[in-house]
Order: sequence, then C-alpha cells, then structure tokens
Amino acid sequence: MKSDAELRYVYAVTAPFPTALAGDLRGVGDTVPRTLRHGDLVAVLSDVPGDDFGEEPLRAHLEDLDWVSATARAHQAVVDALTAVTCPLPLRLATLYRDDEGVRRALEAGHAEFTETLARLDGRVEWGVKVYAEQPAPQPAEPARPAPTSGRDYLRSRRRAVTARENVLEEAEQLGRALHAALSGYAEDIRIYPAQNPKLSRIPGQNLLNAAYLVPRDTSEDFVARLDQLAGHDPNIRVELTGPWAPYSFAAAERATESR
Amino acid sequence: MNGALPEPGPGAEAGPEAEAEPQPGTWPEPYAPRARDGTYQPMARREVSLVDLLDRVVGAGVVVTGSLTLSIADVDLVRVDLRALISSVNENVPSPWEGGQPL
Repeated sequence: MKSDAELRYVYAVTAPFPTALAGDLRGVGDTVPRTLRHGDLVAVLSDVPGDDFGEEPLRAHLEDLDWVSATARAHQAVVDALTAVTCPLPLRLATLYRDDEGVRRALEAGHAEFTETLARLDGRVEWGVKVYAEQPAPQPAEPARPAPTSGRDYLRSRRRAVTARENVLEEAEQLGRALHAALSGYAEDIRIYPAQNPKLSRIPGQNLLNAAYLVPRDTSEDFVARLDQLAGHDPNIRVELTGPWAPYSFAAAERATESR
Repeated sequence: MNGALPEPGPGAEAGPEAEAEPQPGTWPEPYAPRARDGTYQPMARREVSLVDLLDRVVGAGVVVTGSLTLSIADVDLVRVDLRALISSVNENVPSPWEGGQPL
C-alpha cells in the first residue's frame, strides 16, 4: 500500500557529477537521497511516502510550521551538500512527481532551460546581506544617576534619546547604500528582498537592506573581505552575512532575462 | 562544465592564509552557509533564521512545470499561512527580545 503511494521529491537538478552522494546524507522525512540521471542532467531526489507528501497530507503539513521548518532545513541540507561537488539548481520546496518517469519527463521538458541556467550559475554562489539599525541602548544604567530633577533635564534626555535613534537610522541607511554599491561591484546578479518585518522574522532591529548577491566562487573571498571592511564597528548597526548559499535566488529562468 | 570539483569555500573564518588548507577526501565538508554575527559559525549550529531559509527554499528556487502537487498559487498560500502563523504566535507569546534580550 505504502509503496504504491511513494512519490519522488526532487531537491535539485545538476549536471552529472563524478562523486557519489555522502552515505549519511539525509533528506526530507529522514529519507536517503539518490540521483536519477537522464541524458546530461541529473535529478537529486528522495522516495517519499505518499502518506506525507500526497496532495492532501502535504497541504495539511504545510500549515504546520514545525513540519515546514524541518522540511525546509532538510531540503536545504541536501542542496547545500550538493554545492560541495557541483552547481545545483535548487528547486522550490515540495516539488513532487509520481514516479521516476515523471521526473525524466520534467528533465526532458525543461532541458534547454536547465542547461542554460546551470551554465549561467556554474561556479557562482549566493551571499545574503542584511543591514539592521538597532535601537541604541536606552541607557537603563541610569539609576546611578539621579532622576531628572527638572522638566528641562527630562526634556533634554528625551531629546538625546530621539536624536540618537534618528542618527542610528540615518547612519545605517548610509552604510546600507555604501555596502550595496560596493558589493554590487562583485556581483553578477542581485536580488533585493523586501525588508523583513521584525514581528514576522522575530529578528530584532529595523531591517534596512535585505539583498542577495550572485558572486563567483573565485572572488567570494574578496566580496566577504570588502563587506568586513565596510561593515564597521558601530554597535547600533548590525550587518548580517549568510552564505554561501546555492544560488536559490537566481535559479529561476526569468532572472536571467531580467538581469540582462 | 561541472567537471572539476569546485573550490572549497572562501576561508572567511580563518583569514587569508586559510586558502592553503588541504581538501582531503571526495566529499569535502558541505559548503555550509555561515551566519555572521561577529564571528563566523557553521550554519548547522548557529541556524540561519527560518525567514531567510523560507525566502529561498519557498520564495525562490526553480518552479518546474508538470510537477505533481501544489501549484504556485498554493505555494503562495503556504507563505501566507506561515506569516499568519508566525504573527499569531507573536500575539500570544510575548516576543523574547522585547525585554532587551536578543534571542
């Protein structure tokens, strides 16, 4: 019954690569990923139970944040492992086929697009850069200091706090612009993500820049060094670097046309 | 085009001398993304935020036509559901950093 209902969960499409997948690599639902070669393309996939990945159960799972989180991390772990041996074209979470034949048909149908995109992304990685303005510490260590004795003292300290906040925001914006301009020089393509809402992201601070850069592996070290150089040491401005990622943000074919 | 193994990651955490580091074995360490918050740490340990992950794994990546389930519209629904879910979590549970404590 279960074997009837097994589906194919595809993580990524790659060119054929000479190494075997690591034996201890695990994918979604703790499955062991495998490769399926069709011509000059390879799909990296897992056989997953229809009980979890069939349309109805999947729909239910996708409303479970813990499940989505675990599945997304497992998906990324496979894609990430692939970047060590080849340039993977990451597919979107939960790309499923009924059987190997369906995967082959997809590779066949998308052949031109896949090979073109793989050629474009080969040897490139993605770096994520975010700039946050943090609330300057509200100087709560004031108890040592006497409470404002007059209205004027109070207003003065309020004004200081407001000015400090505005300054941080302005400086963070400037840094964001400077960083973006400098980092763009290393990037072959750029994707600007919407600023993250701290309520949703649960990440503190005001997000001013949220960008992904497609950078050749060879010059990635320069990219990171430049970032470190510019990021400065203002404790109120946080610069976050993530990566190298597989080129998720640049994998869709329309990116190629957009960027030209 | 993909014949040669790619270079290992830039020696971001170890400084410029790290490029001489030997790469043993057929499977180098996964080219793990790193989070930067003063230090570089492997993402596996210092996890990249779920939002960053979902922006890529759900919000980007190739959409292949002809796949079995969940059209793109459904994927967008997923995001909406997630956002709603995260928001509702925030409504019920005071966020952990509001007391000035980052996570």
